[in-house]
Amino acid sequence: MTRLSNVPAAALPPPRSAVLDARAEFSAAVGGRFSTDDLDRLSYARDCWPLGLLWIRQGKIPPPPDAVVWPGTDDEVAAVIKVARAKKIALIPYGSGSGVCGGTWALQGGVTLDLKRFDAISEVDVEHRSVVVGAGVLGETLERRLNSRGWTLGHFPSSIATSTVGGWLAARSAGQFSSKYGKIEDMVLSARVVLGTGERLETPERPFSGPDLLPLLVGSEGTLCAFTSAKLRVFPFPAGRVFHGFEFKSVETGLEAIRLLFREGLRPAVVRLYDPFDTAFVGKGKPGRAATPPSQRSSLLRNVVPALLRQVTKQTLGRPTVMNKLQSAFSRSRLILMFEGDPARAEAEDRAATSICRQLGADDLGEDPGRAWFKKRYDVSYRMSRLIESGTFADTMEIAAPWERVHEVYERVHEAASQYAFVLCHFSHAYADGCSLYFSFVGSGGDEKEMEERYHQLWRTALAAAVSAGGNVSHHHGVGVLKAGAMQDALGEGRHALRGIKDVFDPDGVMNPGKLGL
Amino acid sequence: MSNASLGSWAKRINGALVAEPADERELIEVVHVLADRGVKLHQDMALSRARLTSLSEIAKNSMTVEAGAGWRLSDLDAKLKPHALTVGPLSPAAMQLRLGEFLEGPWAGLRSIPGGRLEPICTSITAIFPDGRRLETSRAPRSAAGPDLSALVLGGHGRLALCTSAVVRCIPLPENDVRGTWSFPSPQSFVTAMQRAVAEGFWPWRMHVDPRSGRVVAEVRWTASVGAVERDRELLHRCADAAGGRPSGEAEREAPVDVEHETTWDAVRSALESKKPLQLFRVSLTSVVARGDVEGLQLDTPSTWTSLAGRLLPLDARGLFGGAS
Ligand SMILES: Cc1cc2nc3c(=O)[nH]c(=O)nc-3n(C[C@H](O)[C@H](O)[C@H](O)COP(=O)(O)OP(=O)(O)OC[C@H]3O[C@@H](n4cnc5c(N)ncnc54)[C@H](O)[C@@H]3O)c2cc1C
Repeated sequence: MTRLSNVPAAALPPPRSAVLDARAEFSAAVGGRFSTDDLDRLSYARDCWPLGLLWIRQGKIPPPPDAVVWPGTDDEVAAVIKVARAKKIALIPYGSGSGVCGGTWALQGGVTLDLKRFDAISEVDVEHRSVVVGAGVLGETLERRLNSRGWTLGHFPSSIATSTVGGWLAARSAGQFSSKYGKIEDMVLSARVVLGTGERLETPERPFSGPDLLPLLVGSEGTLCAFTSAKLRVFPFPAGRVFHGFEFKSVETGLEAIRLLFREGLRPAVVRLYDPFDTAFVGKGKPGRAATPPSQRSSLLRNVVPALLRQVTKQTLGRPTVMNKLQSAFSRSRLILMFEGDPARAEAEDRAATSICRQLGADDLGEDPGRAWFKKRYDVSYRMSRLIESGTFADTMEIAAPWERVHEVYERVHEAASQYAFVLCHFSHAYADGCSLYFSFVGSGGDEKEMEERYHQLWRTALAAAVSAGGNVSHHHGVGVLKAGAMQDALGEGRHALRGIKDVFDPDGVMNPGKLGL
Repeated sequence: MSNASLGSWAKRINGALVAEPADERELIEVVHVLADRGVKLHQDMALSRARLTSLSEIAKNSMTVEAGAGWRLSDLDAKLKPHALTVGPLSPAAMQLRLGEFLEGPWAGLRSIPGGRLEPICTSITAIFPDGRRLETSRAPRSAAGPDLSALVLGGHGRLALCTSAVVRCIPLPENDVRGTWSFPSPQSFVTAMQRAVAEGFWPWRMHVDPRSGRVVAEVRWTASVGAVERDRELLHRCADAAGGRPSGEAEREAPVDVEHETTWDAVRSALESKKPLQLFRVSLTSVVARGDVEGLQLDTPSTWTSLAGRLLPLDARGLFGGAS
């Protein structure tokens, strides 16, 4: 057994006897790729849920699996499921652990099913504009391969380097360019899965008769099936890109511009409207003046916010309301647009968008803010753990609402969360009928216990505010453990149908128990 | 069985037993009575949702309206016109359906949007399950909160859940109705140009494609804003040019048979290679709706489910909604 010098002795409970008793069967199912080694168990006792980072800072470890297996074929996955069903042992499908809601936490122990050996990428089917990809392929690997052949998937989650195709499908991911290319559910043509019954199946491509199973499996977060591969739509690598930044007198006017753009049928790949305080962070942005690009918020967030927070925390006994009140001093809101594809089309759409923004009185900031964002578009997300290391708590919440409700959802969530944390927001992933709101929270507290309590209170109040104002529970991070209660509440009587589907596809309840409230 | 003993919603039409509930509450009552009496919907008793015609106020910003499942789409469209909205460019057969039929039938409630994707015409669906429970999906434009339960309704032929109403996504009433004609050297070059243009945002309402002259002559009809049509024309021009196509004169516009199929671009190419003219609607990268002699899923009659979809039937354990057709 591996010794872990920095993990306190007995921090990991020993593997459950049921799993140890089934060692030979699990091992045989995956050609010996089975481990109960503590290092492996510890490595998989996590995802990127900030609560886990808070725990680790306190020396607590999220619940580990009893064992890890690495299947490489659908038959191996089915064989693992067969053993798990016979012995009533939980299975936790695992992509890359970049999920932010505790989806891979082994709440009841069990066996983690790492799917990264499903790593094949087919050649692009040029005629049908599709590619078949193993569920374990990392986004970055896939995109690079496609780019080298002149294609793109158009899916760019900020976690692209650390998330898998299977994880995207399981958690209904959205990328930064989703306003043009859609979410992962818009890109998947069919998927190969092994159900919790152990059956292997491939969903049909349109046209077909009867209900579509795919939307029921996509978003199931490992509770119904393991994805092993998917056929995804690809697009030609864009021949042109046009960036454009605007600044509006208020967030409402900025939102109105986005709404009108989509109403006109324009489809920018990138739409990001920063709320006033977020905009203030990125500089005043008058044309010609050196503005701090949005991507450099990372250093502000990393250095300035924690320092300020520590200072303010001392003075206000951790009441971030004071800092949030400062926000009323700011009102201007910055929008970044990017159009890509056929160069003339991108230019034409940009001209139409510019005309809409100007009619709403926006200042034209030219292409610099957009280009700067593009260059550093993956930076911000990876600062989260450093923020937490610096003694605060931090998290993000992404929800969506119809246009009529967007501003109210913004205000209500902002107000609710402001009691517990310093709050920023931007609006992205736009549609003709609404858009997504992406909140960032940074909070503090007297001690670790208080901080964790505040963290939970923040989520409870913010989600309740979002739903009661007409928003939903998640736009693209999924549910996991974090939002399971809120999701079940939002489903109302529909939760019985979800339970019914669970009973059909996973009758023994071995697939990722405890997630989605199942 | 006497209809009077069932409830005021039960009728005999041409001798057949039909449930015609006036609202959602009555539909729930229907479902409970079916369960109590062991009567099977779609088999022992038909369902008419013609009276489910509630209509909410129009949400102007999100361009949505909540409509009862009994609304005929052409009538709903007429209601929307004074508000400068439309249910969108759907195929002629789809426009004659009731909303519930469009969502539950082989159309699966899908329409195309710019960028080549298909999406359900509604953001939110309300439906009743065989146990009398209610489904109401989120009104937010998109979600990652678990599986999308509207899949139990869309294309489900009313066998898993019965739609009572839906929040319909509308589009602005077009300012412009414009046609343009291009001709292509071969069916393959037509399909190549279309796929390229659709991926870049080309979004026509209808195309009439005629291969009989030796070249493939495609008349495109747009109904959209002035700017959108102009951008689309220019784009199509470049895509046609790259595939060897060129602008052309008027096309023959003889309408092929009325039956609509959902079909693939491969099947479109095959039909054109066999010199069969087609009308195309709901153009997307995934599939198109075609009128004419073409292989595909016939949309006017529900056909047998795929065996995979059949796995969902245990959700209606007692088969109250009639099992897979
Ligand atoms: C810095 C950062 C930035 C992020 N940015 C984005 C973003 O822009 N957009 C976005 O959508 N998300 C984002 N996320 C969240 C995360 O990357 C996504 O949820 C992603 O889809 C998870 O993929 P994964 O492979 O890491 O899955 P994991 O974290 O391993 O698993 C997530 C869930 O899916 C299940 N699962 C994983 N693989 C499979 C499979 N093959 N079959 C069945 N179930 C499976 C797991 O059981 C778990 O419930 C971000 C996360 C981080 C840390």
